[in-house]
Amino acid sequence: MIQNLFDGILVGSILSLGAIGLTMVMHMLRFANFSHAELLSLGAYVTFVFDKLLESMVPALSQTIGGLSLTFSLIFAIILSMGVTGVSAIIIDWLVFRRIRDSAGPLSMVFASFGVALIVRNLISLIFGLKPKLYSEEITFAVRVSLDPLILIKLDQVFVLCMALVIMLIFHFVLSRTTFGYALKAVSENPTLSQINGVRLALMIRLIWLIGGGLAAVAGVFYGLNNQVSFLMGKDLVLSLFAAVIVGGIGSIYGAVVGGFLVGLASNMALLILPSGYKPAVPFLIILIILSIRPTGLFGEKK
Amino acid sequence: MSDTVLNVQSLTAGYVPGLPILHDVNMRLGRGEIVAVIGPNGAGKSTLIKAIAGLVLVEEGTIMLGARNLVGIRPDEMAIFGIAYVPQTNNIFRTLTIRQNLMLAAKRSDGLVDDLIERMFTLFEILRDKQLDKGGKLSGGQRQMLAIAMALVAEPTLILMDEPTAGLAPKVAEEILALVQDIAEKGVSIIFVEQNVKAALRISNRTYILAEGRNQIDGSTQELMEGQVIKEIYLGGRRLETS
Amino acid sequence: MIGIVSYLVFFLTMGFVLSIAVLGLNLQWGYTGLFNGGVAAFFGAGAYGVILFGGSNKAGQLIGFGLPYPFAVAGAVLLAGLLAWIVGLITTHLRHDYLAIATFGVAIAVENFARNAEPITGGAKGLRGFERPFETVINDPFWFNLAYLIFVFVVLIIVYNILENIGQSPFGRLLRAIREDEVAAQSLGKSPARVRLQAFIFGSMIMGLSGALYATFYAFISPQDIVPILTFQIWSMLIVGGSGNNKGAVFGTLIVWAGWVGSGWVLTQFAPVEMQLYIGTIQFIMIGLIIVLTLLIRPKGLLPEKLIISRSVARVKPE
Ligand SMILES: Nc1ncnc2c1ncn2[C@@H]1O[C@H](COP(=O)(O)OP(=O)(O)OP(=O)(O)O)[C@@H](O)[C@H]1O
Ligand SMILES: [Mg+2]
Repeated sequence: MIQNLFDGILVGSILSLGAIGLTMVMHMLRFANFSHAELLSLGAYVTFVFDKLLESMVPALSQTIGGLSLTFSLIFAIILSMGVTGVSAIIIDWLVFRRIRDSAGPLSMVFASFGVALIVRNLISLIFGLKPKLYSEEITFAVRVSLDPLILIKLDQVFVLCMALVIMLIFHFVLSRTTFGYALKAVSENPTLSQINGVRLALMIRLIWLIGGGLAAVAGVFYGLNNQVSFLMGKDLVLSLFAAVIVGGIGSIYGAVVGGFLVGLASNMALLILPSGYKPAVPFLIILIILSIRPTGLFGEKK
Repeated sequence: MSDTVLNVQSLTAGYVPGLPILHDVNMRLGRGEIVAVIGPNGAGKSTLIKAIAGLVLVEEGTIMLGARNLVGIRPDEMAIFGIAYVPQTNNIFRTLTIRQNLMLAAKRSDGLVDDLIERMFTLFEILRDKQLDKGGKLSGGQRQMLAIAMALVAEPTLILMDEPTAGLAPKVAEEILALVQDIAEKGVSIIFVEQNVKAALRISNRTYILAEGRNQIDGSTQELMEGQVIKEIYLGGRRLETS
Repeated sequence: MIGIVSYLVFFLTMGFVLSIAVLGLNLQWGYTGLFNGGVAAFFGAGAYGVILFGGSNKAGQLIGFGLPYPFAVAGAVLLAGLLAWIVGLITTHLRHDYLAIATFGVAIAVENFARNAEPITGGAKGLRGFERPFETVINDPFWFNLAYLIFVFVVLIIVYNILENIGQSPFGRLLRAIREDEVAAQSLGKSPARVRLQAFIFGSMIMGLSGALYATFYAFISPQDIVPILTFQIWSMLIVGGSGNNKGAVFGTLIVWAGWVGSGWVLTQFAPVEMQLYIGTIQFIMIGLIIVLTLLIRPKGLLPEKLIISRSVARVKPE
């Protein structure tokens, strides 16, 4: 029970990070982006590559931090990967979505995002192989927090959870204290009025992809640390991310954060009553329930 | 006659390519002048203002600001040319505080922002008290004041206002109109759309009448007041309802 | 020689079975503008449905009604329709991409159910052993398959004609009007949400029919047959052919299906050994590329829709 609670919160924090970008894109560009989850696996693999590169270039960086299995090189790799993944998101938008946005409706973008997801996911598996990867071959042992009930927690997991919370807090300050934050809020409330007030929409869209991609990369790495780095990560997470966005209400960044935690918790708590094989279907049930009782989500605006 | 600030010539513009709303519209605005645009509902008044602000598709014609053609300039660049636009509806951000609205509208982040905002608060004391409230909490009149303050805070030379008094109590509407006159006296040129024909005629230097997307008649307000056609057209209520 | 012919029979049978699903999708997307991201779910409901309703009750198996074949097919189609009704009722009146998300989810849930609900669906092993009609009468695999091909072809012709008739009917025009401009359609006094729901259910039932024919052909169904890639294959078939156009839908199906089968054959023959594991991966990239490139380069497909409605409804949106 408490173990499920902890796992739920942990997965929830990862989903929250991933859902922030998705909710911004769904609100601003008005389409459900089925390829957003692939940014998580892209970020995870790019981090993997940078990590190995840094380790071989500067062996000193391969030292682990404290009692964690994480190395310094991994931390730097994550930062680099955030940039690369964010820029990749901008490039994908520029190559595909922008063109379709100009010529066809939002549903064509949904459609294209399925195609993009297939391409990105399978290119990754073609390049990196079908076998999952691990950031560290070292086996870290879980700390037994209590025996009855049995609760096992890894230090890495605590680190991931704390980092996820710190990143969200930083993002919160950017949103609430900077002109960029106001502009972002302004654009999501009324794009035309914000344009009149000097906000460059094209630039904002690029920034949204950059931020969404960067946060997705972190989420992907954290998911990879917690499980393993696999090209199927996006496929496994896409529905949970949508569930988080819908629970929070499309366009609400804080909603996405809360939604992420709720979906993570619900998915893990559901295991108390459902056989574990049914776990992938839980986000779908959450989506159905929310859409039938409160389609605007917890924090969404009414139409 | 004062020197021309803005000159709209044979403007054909609309929302969908090939389906223009405005046809061959002409309009001129001098420095420090107040020009009113009146006309029945759906005449294209808002569309004309939006065309100048860069928000609709211009198919033909020019919009000259001095020697510069504004056609093709993005709405977010208009501020560079000293143009501010107060839309008819949804003209403030409900989810931002009053202060944040003004900070965004000031389009600058240097030390001057606080000064400029302070000046707006002296102009609209009521906004100072509410500066930390969300825009959504303001009453109709206060909302309109904030919208005008958002235009002024960018220090424009030309302000486009779309029905700034719509839906306001008569007394508040009077205040807004007096403010428009004050602004113009400081050398800012103003184009404003007004439903209340009498008010429009009273405070404007010149008035344009638009119907079905075309100029109907124009001239100095004085001439219009005296002219027979104009009386027939709207004071007689044939085309417009005067309120 | 007989090998090639029997392969051709297989190729066409599958091509026609898939065409039926693509026609169902065309009703939803092409005519009505509804995004169904879970074609595999409705196809799967039909496929499992026909074996559950028509198959006999075996040991360890909870359900198996052993109904006569026509009833089994009808049950399968209704099952797909029921699933569509549940999802559609909740989503067709909401923001349009909610339907995409919910249908995508239902496909995952159905596959998940098929994998786990062993007493009903046979779990990962699937459901095997289903006596196909006339199998004992014809009693020769080649001739049986040929007869089945003709049967499937007839069904395809029937579905095609029904959809063509719908397309020309006032209902079909209403669907297109809703696709083009929901507000305008609403002002005609029709409830777009209701009409969208009807089109969604009917389209999904056609997909269910396609699934039933698929499962009948193999007398076997497993979760492997209803994985998400099926949805994307069917989508790529529709968009290549030309959404909104039924001829295009069938044409696109045969082209993409040939491309799929052909690329699979070429890759198994000529790809280096270490690449053999990645044949599926390459084919998935191919499907993704077909979707994206068609949308970018030729969004109306090879055979574009012939617009029959007049453009009298001016696209006027309120401020
Ligand atoms: N976003 C839009 N897209 C398409 N057509 C529009 C749009 N906005 C307005 N129109 C059409 O343009 C025409 C002129 O509208 P406009 O808003 O300019 O009129 P107006 O004179 O400002 O009327 P009002 O007095 O009601 O404000 C109308 O027929 C209207 O339906
Ligand atoms: Mg107007």
